[in-house]
Order: sequence, then structure tokens, then C-alpha cells
Amino acid sequence: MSESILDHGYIPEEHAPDPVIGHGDPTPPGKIAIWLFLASEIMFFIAILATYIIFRSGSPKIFAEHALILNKLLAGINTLVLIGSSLTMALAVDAAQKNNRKKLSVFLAITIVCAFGFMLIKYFEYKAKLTHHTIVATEVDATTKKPVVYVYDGHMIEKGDKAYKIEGFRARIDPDKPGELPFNIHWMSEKSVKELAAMQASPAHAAAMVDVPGGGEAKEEAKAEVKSAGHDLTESHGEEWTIDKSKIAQDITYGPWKNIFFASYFTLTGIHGIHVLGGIIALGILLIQSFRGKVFAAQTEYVGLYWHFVDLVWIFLFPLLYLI
Amino acid sequence: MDSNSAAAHGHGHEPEEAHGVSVPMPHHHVNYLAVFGTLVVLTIVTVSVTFIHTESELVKILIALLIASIKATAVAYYFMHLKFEGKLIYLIMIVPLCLCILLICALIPDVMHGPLFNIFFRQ
Repeated sequence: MSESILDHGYIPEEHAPDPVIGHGDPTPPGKIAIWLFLASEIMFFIAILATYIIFRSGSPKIFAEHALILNKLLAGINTLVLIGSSLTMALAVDAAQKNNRKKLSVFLAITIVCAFGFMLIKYFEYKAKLTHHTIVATEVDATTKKPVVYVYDGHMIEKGDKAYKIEGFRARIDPDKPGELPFNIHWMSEKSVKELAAMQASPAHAAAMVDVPGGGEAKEEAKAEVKSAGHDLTESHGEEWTIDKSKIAQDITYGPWKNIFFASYFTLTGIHGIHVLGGIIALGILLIQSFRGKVFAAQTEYVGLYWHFVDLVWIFLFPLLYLI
Repeated sequence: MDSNSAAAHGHGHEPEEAHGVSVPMPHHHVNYLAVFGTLVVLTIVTVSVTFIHTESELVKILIALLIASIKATAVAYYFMHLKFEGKLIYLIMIVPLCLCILLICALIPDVMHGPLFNIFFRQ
């Protein structure tokens, strides 16, 4: 024993008896610390998941309708990207433990690229939500000269100084009927506007509304036209609408302010995204150290545990938000 | 384990640099690619299940959560090396997991509005 208590004045960490379990348990203190941190993270995520469960059970219709607008394909790709990064992280930990610096650098680099890929896809997802508008505008009908209130729902194509151009759906808002809930822009989803528009364009509805001079054949044609338009509405991404800015009464995007569903969606995915960013910093430090010729085997393992945990959280968030 | 770390300590010529370059640590043999393949397959399964039309929403939710739990267990057991950990790590993890179950159970009165629950809480 060249190095002992006499040299250092303290018992080296790796030889000290484990204070919790007692003699013989070789679990390093760092690993205990990271697992305790993950335990606190579990409690953090279960708390925000519990709010999600409560909100969803209280407003099942809002959750069911608005979840449809989320992009399942992008989220599915993101799931695979994160699982792939978990694989490369596990291989990086393995390489670090075998003291293989070259392999460690390669796998850490791939993990970081995957993490940035995840955030990039997340950015496109968020951008699609934040450019999706629901607009209430009062316009004057060209033939009857009476004011009509419309609700538009769709993607902003062109945000001009005087007018907005959106691609989506338009439906008329009729005055509130007794016994029905009053109109609320926060509750209008793409689906509900689409269905309302299709209903208003239905032949029975159109027969009462469309007044074609000449009657007979022309009227039948007009009916068929309206019918096909109504059919198209349920299939397509909608039409292009130009809305005069001065006529807009209400305008809201699909951000967390939209309704309880988007508040949950942005909170859950946002907090998870912050964890991914934190992971990128930790992975970056390990990669820089690896480039400088140092292999931190234990630290790589701890960062790996954190990274797998972030993957594990997404494994639950993906079906909860996007699929069911 | 003990002899290994003792050997590592013996080899270190400069103790203050022991963190940087060290002798290979003990590592575990796991077929990571097989675990990854399982996770990918389960992801594809959970996505395709949502496109199947079932009468009951509850069945879909339970299937999705079951698959997610299997995936999470695979990640924790193999990627996070829970398979090779001692009692202490399991002890640390069991506490929050029990608290999670407790919290979710505490939500049941708020979540259940159906006839099943009215048996217990008659108006």
C-alpha cells in the first residue's frame, strides 16, 4: 500500500465503505447522486403529467379535437431519433469504460447530432402551431349588404400590412341560440370550423340559401357545386382566404394561450425540450474533453443515465400527446 | 470489483490525473443493437395501433400505455444498466415509483365520471 491514509489524510473514495448499505457495496457516490437526481426528476414529471390527466379528463372534447392538428409523422420520426441517440449514448458509455477515446468521440458526436435533430424537428412543429391562426372577422355580404361574422382557421401564408392571407377553412358564426354554449374562439379547432363549414355548405342548407335566377336546372347545378365543395372541405387542407386586417375582431394562434390542450402540450414538450438542451451541454463538455484526449468513464456513464431518462420521458409523452 | 479498482489505483502514476486517463473500467455485455431494434419495432406497433378503429377509447389508451411501459422498462433495464445494479439503486427508484402510483390513484375520483364510479359515490 503505497498510498494510504498516511499519504492523503483521508480514505480515498473508492476504498471507503458505502455509508448507506454498508461494507461491500461498490456503488460509487456519483452514481447514487445521479439516481437520486433522476428520482426527483420522476416526481417533477409525474406532477406535470398529473395536471395533464386532470385537464384531459375535464375537457375531453377540446383534447380530442385539437390533438388532431399535431403532426404524428414528425413526432414519430423524433421518437426514432431519440431512441437512436439513446443507442449511441449507450455505446459511448461502453467505449468510455473500455477507454476507447476514438469510439467515444464518434458516439458522443452522433448523440449530439441526434439531439440537435430532435430540437430542429421540434422547432418546425412549434412553428407550424404558432403560424396557425383562428380569426374572427366581420364582413359585409356582397348581395344582402348585411354584416356577417366569419371564423377562419388555417395557416398564415402571407402576413401583409393591410391583409392576411391564410390557407384553411371558413365558417359563418350565427347568433347564439338559447341552450347552446356561446361562441368562444379558444374552443374552435380546425376540425370544428371544417365541420361547421361543411354543414353550412350542405345541399339542404344551400337550397334554402342559394337563390339562383332562372330556377330549375341552374339551381340543381348550383346545389351540386355546393355539394362537391362541401365534400372537398372534409378532404383537403382548405382554401386560400384573404382577410382585411381592419375587419378582424379576434385573432389567436395555436400557442399555449389558445386553450387548455395547447397549454398542456407546450408545457410538457417544452420542459422535455429544456431537458434535451441541458443534455446537449453535458454531452458537449464530454465531447470537448474527449477531443482534448481525456476519457471520463464515470462521468460519461452519469450523463448517459440522464440522457436515457430524457428518452424515457419522451417514450411516455409521445403516445399521450400525439397518439391517444 | 474491489481488486479491479485497487489495481487501477496502483497503476496511476500521477494521482491528481486519475480522472483523465485511466485503466478500462469494468463494463457490461449488453446487445444494445437488439434493444434498439425492439424499441423501434414497439414504436412502429404503437403508431399503427392508433390507426386501427376500435369502439373503446379506453382500450387504445391502455394498449399505448402498456407498450410505453415495456419500452421504458427496456430502456431502464438495459440502457441504464439497471440489470447490473445493486439493491441501493433499486431502493432509490422504488420510492418515487410508489409515490407516482399513489399520486395517480389520488386522481381517480377526479378522472372517473362514468357509471363505474357512481357505485362508490352516489348522489
